[in-house]
Amino acid sequence: MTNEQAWWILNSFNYAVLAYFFLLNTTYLATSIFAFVGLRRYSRRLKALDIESLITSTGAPAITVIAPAFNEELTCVTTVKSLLELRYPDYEIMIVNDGSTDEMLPRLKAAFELVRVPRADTANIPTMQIRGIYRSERYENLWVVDKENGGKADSLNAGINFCRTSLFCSMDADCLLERDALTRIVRPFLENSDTIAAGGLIRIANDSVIAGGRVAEVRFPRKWLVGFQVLEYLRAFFSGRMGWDVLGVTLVISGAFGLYKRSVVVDAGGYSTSTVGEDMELVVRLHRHCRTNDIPYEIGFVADPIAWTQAPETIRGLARQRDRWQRGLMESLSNHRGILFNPKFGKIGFLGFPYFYFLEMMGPVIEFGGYITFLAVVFLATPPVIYVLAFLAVSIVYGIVLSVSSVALEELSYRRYPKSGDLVRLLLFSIFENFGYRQMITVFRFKGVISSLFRVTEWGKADRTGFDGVCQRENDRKRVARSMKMKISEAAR
Amino acid sequence: MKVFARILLGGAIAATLVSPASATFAGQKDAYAAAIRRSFTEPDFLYNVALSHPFLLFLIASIAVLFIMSCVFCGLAVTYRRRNNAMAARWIRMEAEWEPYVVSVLNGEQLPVSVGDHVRGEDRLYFVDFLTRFTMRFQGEELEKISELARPFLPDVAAHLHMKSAAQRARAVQTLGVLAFSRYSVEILNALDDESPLVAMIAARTLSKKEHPEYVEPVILRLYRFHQWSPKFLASMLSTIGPKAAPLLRKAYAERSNDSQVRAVAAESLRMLNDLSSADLAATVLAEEKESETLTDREKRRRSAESARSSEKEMEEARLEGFDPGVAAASSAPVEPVREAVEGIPHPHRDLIASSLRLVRSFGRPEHADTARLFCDSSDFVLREFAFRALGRVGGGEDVQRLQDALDDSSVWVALHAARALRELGAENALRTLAEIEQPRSDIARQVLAESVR
Repeated sequence: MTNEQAWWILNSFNYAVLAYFFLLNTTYLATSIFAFVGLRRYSRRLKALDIESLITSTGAPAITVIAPAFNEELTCVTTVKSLLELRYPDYEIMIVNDGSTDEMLPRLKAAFELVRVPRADTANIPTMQIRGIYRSERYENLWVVDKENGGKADSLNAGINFCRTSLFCSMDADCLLERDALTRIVRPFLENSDTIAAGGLIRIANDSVIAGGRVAEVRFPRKWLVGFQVLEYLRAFFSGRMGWDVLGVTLVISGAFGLYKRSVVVDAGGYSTSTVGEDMELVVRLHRHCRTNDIPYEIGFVADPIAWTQAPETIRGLARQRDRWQRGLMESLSNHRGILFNPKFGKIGFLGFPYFYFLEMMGPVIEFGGYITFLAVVFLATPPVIYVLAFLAVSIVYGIVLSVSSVALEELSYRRYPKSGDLVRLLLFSIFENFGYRQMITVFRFKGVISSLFRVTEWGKADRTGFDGVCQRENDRKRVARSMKMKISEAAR
Repeated sequence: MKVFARILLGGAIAATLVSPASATFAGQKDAYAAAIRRSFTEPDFLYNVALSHPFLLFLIASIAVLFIMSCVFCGLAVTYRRRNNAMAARWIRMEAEWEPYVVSVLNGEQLPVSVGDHVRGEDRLYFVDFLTRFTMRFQGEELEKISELARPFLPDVAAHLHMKSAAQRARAVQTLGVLAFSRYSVEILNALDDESPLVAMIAARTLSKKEHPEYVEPVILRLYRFHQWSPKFLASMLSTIGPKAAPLLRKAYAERSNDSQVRAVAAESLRMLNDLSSADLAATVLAEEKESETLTDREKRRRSAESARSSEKEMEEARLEGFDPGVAAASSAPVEPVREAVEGIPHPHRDLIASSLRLVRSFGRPEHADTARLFCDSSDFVLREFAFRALGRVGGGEDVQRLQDALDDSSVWVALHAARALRELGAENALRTLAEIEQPRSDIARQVLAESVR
């Protein structure tokens, strides 16, 4: 290969990268605009339909909250307490102990007076062996399924097998649901009986004040790494999920918080245990199941039910998480690649799936390659100025536009970071995330692509500080008490 | 200043394009410096460079547009924040102003006639919203006083009934329903026919809360408009009307020309209203449904055959289309087929029959047991389940064997409810025997026995 040929190939790749960035960011911008429309429409609808009357309504369907937990001794009691305080007329809590090796089960037994009881399964999705079923003597709606270790998907399947209600809510045991989260997420199921799944919003709780199993005071994280993730979550959920939902193309429901119709999930075979992205895989499979069987269905995203989660605070933890997410995405899309441009799947096949397949799944490879060649061209040769300028425009400046737009969407809708300083921080982070953080995430995702190609199946250990720990670290009990008091007086009014 | 600097930068970059000296870093530096100098000294320099390099101009313009967009979004975020903060502050100030006045009116210390002195023109709708919140806490005389306070401002709210936005219309219906139903009942009734299902639903909910039979019929007649809503939710809404609605609901339930979903909702509402007399009606409906089932069975067999053919076709198509059946089988498909998928095709009137069987279970007498038995062998597992649940209440000793056999039903739900029915009929011995041995359904027996201890 001559130098000229090599140069031509490099240039072609560079322009392909530019085209990729442009397409990706334009898609984000388009979904942000749809999200803007959707959020306005939804907030008006919320004003018209009174949420309180839904809570008291006897027509609210029963829900089982399934929370798989592995070695969550730090957070499990807080999580269960928070779940017991949910404002919903009819629900069961099912904690699935996935063969924990720490003190989680003994802690739960002691805290909630669990006793072993017989309980028959209602479906037979294969799972690891069940060691026992426990019920709380103090709280009739609290159950614990103890089983051999088999992973998150396996635990969810075990929970589904013992679920007796028509709907189940899947959540992570290290998450805190807001009190009215179930009431809000059940709305699509009431309004449209064809609804089979709905996802809620995930927010980051690091550094917020947690008291009594709930977020008493929302604070912007102090660590820059977590701050960037806050912004990323806003972009992913508002611009991404909400925008795609307006288009009727919801392909992802976060495993941290989603509500499903049990019978359809059972018919579709439950969660896949061979992927680390079981949440996305299930949603894609539900689309496939319903379309191939001509079952009328709706899958949607609801912007106001909130689950609070802990984001990784170290680069290593973040790298593991993104590696896993990328692997999950690739496995889900590869297993169902037949949906791609398949007329049977309509908008899913021609819009949503191609977006995830070409831009999200292959994106890290193109992006990573793009950054490498950009640096190579800049440092090893004299770059064409037009190329440098175009690269900076589509990757950096366009990125800033999108990040700032997601902050605007947050301000338009729920404004969960009340201090003016938080808004300033969010806006500054919107700019700075494009200089280093985004590139770092690309590297982690690229590593995920490599791991996926080498069939790595490990979950990746998560670092947990525990919600109790968060509260203690704040060392601000008076403030917590004052905040709670205000909330109580607000509720009383 | 920033725009000027950007143009300057553009000029400098353009200079590198036109300058042959840009082959090295030093050359580039000189070219930039020269370009910046020329942009100051030669007024037409930037203009000429831009014209000779249209793509560069486009690029710079794009960056400028993106920059402006960032500023706009940034401005929007700040504006939203400031506006919302201002609104919240204003709301708090107005509440602090209005609350003592409203409380004094409720206590009878002041008359509601002076309300105009307390509410500024632009705050009228806020005041109505404020009063609406009070309506949740008060009833009777106090509620009338609140309505009286809202009266001067309600025409403004009523004007929203003709707005383009469905959400605005819905909100107006809700507010008028709470604060001045009798005055705006015609408008609310008309809203049942609003083109937006949301507005129609708000109107239906408002009318359902009024406990007046004359408002029930229009709601029931329009139930078909709410076919997408959850039947349980609709039944709950209708049951809030109270016992006065029962005759109309019975009529809707019995009417064979009605849609089966509408009849199912009516039946469920009757159950929620504890309407004892509807058990006889349920028995009649069940008998009628059984009669027409012969035809249904024929249809079912046809559909079953079609379904089998299409399944084979789907598998073949899946292979051709690139689905990976191997991966799917390894990852998610159960070892044996999931029961619900093979437990028969749903009866076309499943909801109606299930609701009727629920009525029999709730209010039936032993003479209704025969109608429940009609569905013990249904090919739809949901109907078998409800039939056994009904037998648990209205059945007798002759049903014990049938229920024992049902413990081995292909559906675990049917087996579970058969076991519960056995317990209700006092035939716990059969359950104990099953619980003591190791069988696939032993867990069900153990669970049901444990439930009886609790």
